[in-house]
Amino acid sequence: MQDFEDRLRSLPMREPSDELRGRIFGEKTRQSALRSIVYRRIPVAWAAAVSIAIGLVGFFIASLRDTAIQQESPIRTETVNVQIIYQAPETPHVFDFTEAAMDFLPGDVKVRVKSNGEV
Amino acid sequence: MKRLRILSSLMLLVVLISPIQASGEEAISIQLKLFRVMGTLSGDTSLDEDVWAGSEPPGAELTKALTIFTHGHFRLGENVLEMKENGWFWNGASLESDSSLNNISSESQLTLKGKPSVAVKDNGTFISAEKIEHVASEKESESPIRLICAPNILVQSGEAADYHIVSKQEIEYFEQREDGLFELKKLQEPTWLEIEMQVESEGQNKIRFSELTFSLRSVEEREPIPGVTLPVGRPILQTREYKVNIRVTSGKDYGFLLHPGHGQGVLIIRLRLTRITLHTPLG
Repeated sequence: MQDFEDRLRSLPMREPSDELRGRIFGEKTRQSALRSIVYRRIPVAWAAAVSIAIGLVGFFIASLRDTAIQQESPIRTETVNVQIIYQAPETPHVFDFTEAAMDFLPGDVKVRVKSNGEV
Repeated sequence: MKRLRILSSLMLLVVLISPIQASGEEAISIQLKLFRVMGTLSGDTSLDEDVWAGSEPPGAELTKALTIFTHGHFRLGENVLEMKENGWFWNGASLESDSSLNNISSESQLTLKGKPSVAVKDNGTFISAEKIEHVASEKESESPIRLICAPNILVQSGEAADYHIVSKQEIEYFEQREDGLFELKKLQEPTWLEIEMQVESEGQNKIRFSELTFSLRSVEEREPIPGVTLPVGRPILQTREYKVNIRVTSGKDYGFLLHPGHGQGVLIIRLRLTRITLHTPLG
């Protein structure tokens, strides 16, 4: 039995070419490296710290972008003009603060007239 | 681990999106009401926040001429004028509604689309106009408080607004003739109140006036007539200017009591500035 096994081992067998061997084992090696990076175990604290750092950097960049947009926009010089013309010939003058402009305030006015002509 | 990565990505997205959204066009709505009060107004005012933060507090002269307040309680004869957090009231009735005063007839609203314009409310619809011509009704003279105008405008943060409220009323006076009789004359000099302001959004809910100027051209005194004690002589026109730098809270009412240097009566200005985020640019 041992002799038979030795004879089988000594027989020449067909093997894959070097190119094929390289392709098979080479690809396998590269895929393993990628997988090892992707599925590498990272401590939770590290992952959280990196996420926060990226978030802060993103916020800072967005704020800078916002400031840059505001600075780029031209200085607003527009003025909204509102003109109101007040016309009221029968009412006291709006901007006359003297006593001459004062009217009687609402209410009853009591007048006593004496018969001999004196008021 | 996968869940942690998804969570991190979401957090990153949220952080990146928030400032982009906040950079939308911001406008400021300015609601102004000008009241003229006849007679002697007595009462108290109070200010529940420091509007002078970061700027020079007003001097004694300015404080005497211009009072800024958030709350007020005034008596005018038998009438009561109150300014509270939930609104302004005249004898208990809200000054927001037309029925409280018989004289609200110039309610207007401005919408800005690049060029300055005024939209005047006419029978419920807004029509575009450069000016608001307000003809007071007969009933207005009966009230010791009159609403002169109430324009609402919309400006972009950083823009300026200029209100020019002109009175076309004639000023009556007496002039003594050579024969000793007095002749009634009418002076056709323009008088006005000009309010210039430039407003900018600040912080979360503040609005800063980088400029707020009240310029009042009015009649405060009369030329004396020899032998006559009544103040009915020729009007003396004076122009006074008051400048303040203040910071206000968005959506809150502020009162500005403008006292003339001499004479009686006051002007009360109610200002409410509200920050609004627009989805489409104004221009």
